[in-house]
Amino acid sequence: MKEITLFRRGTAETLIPLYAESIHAGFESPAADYEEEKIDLNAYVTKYPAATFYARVAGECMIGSGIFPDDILVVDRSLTPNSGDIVVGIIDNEFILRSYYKKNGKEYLMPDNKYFKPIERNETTQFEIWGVVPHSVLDQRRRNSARLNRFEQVLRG
Amino acid sequence: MMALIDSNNFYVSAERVFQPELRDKAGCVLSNNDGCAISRSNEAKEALGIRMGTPFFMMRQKHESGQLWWRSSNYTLYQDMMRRITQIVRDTFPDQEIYSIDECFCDLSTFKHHDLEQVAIDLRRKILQYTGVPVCIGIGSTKTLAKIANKVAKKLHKDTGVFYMGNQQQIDRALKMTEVDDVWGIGPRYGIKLIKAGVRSAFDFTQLPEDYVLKLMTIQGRRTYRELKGERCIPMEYERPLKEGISNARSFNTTVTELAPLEEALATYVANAARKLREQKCVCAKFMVYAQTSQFVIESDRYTKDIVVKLSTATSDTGTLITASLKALRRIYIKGYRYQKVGVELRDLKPETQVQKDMFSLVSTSKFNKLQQAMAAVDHINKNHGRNTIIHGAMGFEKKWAMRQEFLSRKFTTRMEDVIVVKAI
Repeated sequence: MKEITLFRRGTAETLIPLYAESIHAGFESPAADYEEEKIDLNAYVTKYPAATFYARVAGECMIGSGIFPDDILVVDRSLTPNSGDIVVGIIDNEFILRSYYKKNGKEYLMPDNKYFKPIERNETTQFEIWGVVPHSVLDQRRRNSARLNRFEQVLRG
Repeated sequence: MMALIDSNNFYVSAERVFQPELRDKAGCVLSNNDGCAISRSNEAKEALGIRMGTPFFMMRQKHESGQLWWRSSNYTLYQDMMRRITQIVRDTFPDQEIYSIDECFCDLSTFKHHDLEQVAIDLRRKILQYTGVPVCIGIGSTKTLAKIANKVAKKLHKDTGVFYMGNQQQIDRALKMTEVDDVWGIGPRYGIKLIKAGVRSAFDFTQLPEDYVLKLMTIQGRRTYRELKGERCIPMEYERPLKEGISNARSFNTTVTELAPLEEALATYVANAARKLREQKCVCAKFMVYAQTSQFVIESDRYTKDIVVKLSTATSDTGTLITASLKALRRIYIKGYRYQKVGVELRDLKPETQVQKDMFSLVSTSKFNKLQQAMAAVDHINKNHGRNTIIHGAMGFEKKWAMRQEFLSRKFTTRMEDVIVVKAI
């Protein structure tokens, strides 16, 4: 094993700072004592970070709940699904987005769009709930053109 | 009491959480460079006989015929899932030691008046629900017994995933079904010795006279012996001791003969090691660089060389370390060999607060601080925008030598563009 020592060639410029910190001049802000933490959107949408995942939407079956294609979903696996919750389910090894609905002892995964059909749990159709969706994130500017189309129709009467 | 919480087939389980199509099917996760199996599903173990280390080419036919799925190792994903599991465990059992990527020990001394078995069953169910990863929990009076209890849980208590080794009868039964070389701390070398001496099970081992164990296996063996008898000898390690050295190296996917790609690879490994160094808030003033050919070629084609470099001032600056390591590499590089690996090992790590400046040092304090600030900014950007957002030019851009990861899944939990897609159709 060889040992070599590397030294850097150059000019000596070891400087010792005169002041370790900058000098405070003038008056301290009168609001300094009232400073609070910043608003944390993560904390607002995440109850239990270790159980929170994210997902992206493909399709339009939940438009009635304000969820559009390409929206980001917050998926919380620590929540137990209540009737009416939006959930990420698994059917035939695929992730699907629906609302969980329980009535008269029957369980459904419901779309929120009249062009789609409910899915009922029975012997032939099994589903599993992967997580509950407590929040979704919609990029409003991406919906601008759709909105403008609607405005035009309104103005045209 | 002590608990050992261990994820079942962790890498395979983590892949399955985000790829439901992989569930209930034989599959495995491959090692770096997709060389061999390092995590296997139960189906792959039982039905296909895939072992730890079964090489890629031996599994190829099963993969092509659709019997077996595989994935390259996605350490970013596994690390994130591990972080989640340890957090959930800590909420129940706060005295926790992270032992490896898929195991942690917990000291349950503060839980005297609880039904520990039920607490563990609830915790296991919670981890499965919150993360999708199945774990087993073994509880015993020492770390070594907790390890054994965990194995029993995996074998015999698949429904609850928990085995609480409460009384001597249960301990003896568990020790009798544990082969002596499977005991934590004994290992294959002493295992062979013991089996030759007629000691087959962990129970047999505990029946030996203590002096005999001490003579045969030194003080380490006696520690394991006493732990099996219920005496705590291995304490919890809450704070990981400072790593003595950090090394970073991987084999190339093909051999490399030219200096330039070797330099790129080394610079990349140095950058990784330097990042780890800064994460630990450490600096180093000494490191070793090495280059080697394959050991499986004829002797005249074999070459292994290392070189130790001392810096005049300890640093964690990537640029400084890369420059010095490349100089060292050029010293040991000999044209003509087909290199399979280069690597770096940072040594003599010290906390960055203890930087001792060489009186001849030419790096001024202000420059040192500036370098530190610059590296902190780079680390911050790379953490938030992906590991290689800002790189040193020396690390190269093509990386023809880079790790083979042909079957890598997405970074489902750490990158917004990689999250699962949910069908709303």
